[in-house]
Amino acid sequence: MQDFIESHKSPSLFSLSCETSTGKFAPYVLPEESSTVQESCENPYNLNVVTCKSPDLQAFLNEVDGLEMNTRVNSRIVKLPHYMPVFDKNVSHLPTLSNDFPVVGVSLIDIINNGIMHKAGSLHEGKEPAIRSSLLESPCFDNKKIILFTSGPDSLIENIWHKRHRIRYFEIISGMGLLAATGFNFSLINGECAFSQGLNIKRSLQSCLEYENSGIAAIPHVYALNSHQARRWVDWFRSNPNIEYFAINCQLQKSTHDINQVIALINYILGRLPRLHVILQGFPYKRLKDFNALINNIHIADASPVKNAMGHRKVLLYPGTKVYKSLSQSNLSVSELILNNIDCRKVMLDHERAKINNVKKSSGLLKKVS
Amino acid sequence: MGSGTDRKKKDKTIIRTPEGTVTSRIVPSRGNFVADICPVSFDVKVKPNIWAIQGASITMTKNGSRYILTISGEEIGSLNQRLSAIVANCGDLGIRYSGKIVIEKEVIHARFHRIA
Repeated sequence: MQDFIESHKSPSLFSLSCETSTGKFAPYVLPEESSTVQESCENPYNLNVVTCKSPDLQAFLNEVDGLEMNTRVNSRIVKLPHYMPVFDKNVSHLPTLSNDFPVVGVSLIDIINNGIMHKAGSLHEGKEPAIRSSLLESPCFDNKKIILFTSGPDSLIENIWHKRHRIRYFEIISGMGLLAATGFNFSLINGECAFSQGLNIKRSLQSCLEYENSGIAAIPHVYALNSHQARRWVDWFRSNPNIEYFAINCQLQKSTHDINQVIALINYILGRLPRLHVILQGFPYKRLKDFNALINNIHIADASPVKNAMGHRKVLLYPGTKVYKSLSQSNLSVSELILNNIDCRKVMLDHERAKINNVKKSSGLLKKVS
Repeated sequence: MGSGTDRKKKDKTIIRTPEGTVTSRIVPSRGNFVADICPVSFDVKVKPNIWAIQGASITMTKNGSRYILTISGEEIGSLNQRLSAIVANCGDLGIRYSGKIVIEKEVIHARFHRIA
């Protein structure tokens, strides 16, 4: 079988031992999806994923009402800008930003206390996570619409999801005045059990439903590693016509292959459903040109200005040169750096979009002339 | 935290069985039990030793109620009673720990990671 970007994957010995190969989970996970499985599905303790051989499989299926993507989500949200800075918990001292940035983001890790700990070289789940319900009262969030990106390390995501009822997660979040929240970004990793991928897609959809049931507009978070999963998403969007936006967290996708896979997925979905817009977190600007005519459906959620400012790095622009952008150490205050970096990143995005749109226009003209 | 080719090595978690779900299983999930009692990783301070270099593999051997740490047969430290009990209990569940020397800020640690 070929993966989503047509690179060939030979079935492995583990493909045949994956329960999905028998058709047990069809039509929600097809037998041919097992051909991408490259490691054993034996995983009795549910380490990282819940596989087809998990002794607790039924409990996980019950939690999300099976694998069928029949979850209805109806959230409509206002029109979003193309650039949205993402703030973190260190921004409480920041002044109010200009009205150029009416919508800002915040990540799960920043609104949770004791969600995870870094100890002995690994992330450990925090025993008593609590929600920083007052974070969004900081001045920099004044008059802003805020999107919660429910993304972060697996140790955090899984911990919060597991304890969501105990810590009254949705109830507390619903009182924080959010514009919307993205679905939990449960991981999908190439080569892992095909059932676990289908389950994580459904778990993410279930989280959207739980947001919506708590009165928070939900933005589905989309991952897909093969054309079957992508097709199921397209079918799902067709049956949920109110949804205009979806999100993809690209912060783990560093290799060219992985980024190509994200681009292919977005082109696949937007090519079929041009009404949709996607919010990308952590996507490299230099690859925006790969979206061609779809660039106007792409929105960027950008945490890098704040992260760079925290490291005392200033974004510098050199318009009209090959360098265009660089980072330099700066003695400016963190607040000043954040404001500078956000402005520069927005200018860069506008520049990239203008370039792509100009190419679009000129190729349109060429077609007319020819 | 993503989709792609590789998981982050430091981000390995046991996915706990959903709370409040009804199952036909009488025994609680083994995964939850392991997540409760077997830490993802732990550090043990060890004595400076000629073999205790960054990345050196450590052997953990049970000696009475304690575990002794050695590199190439040379003892470099031991687990305290509490950690020894944890490692023994986790061993009974089939969980092992693999250890390497880590030197951070000139302090030498034996760092162990859970292998489920």
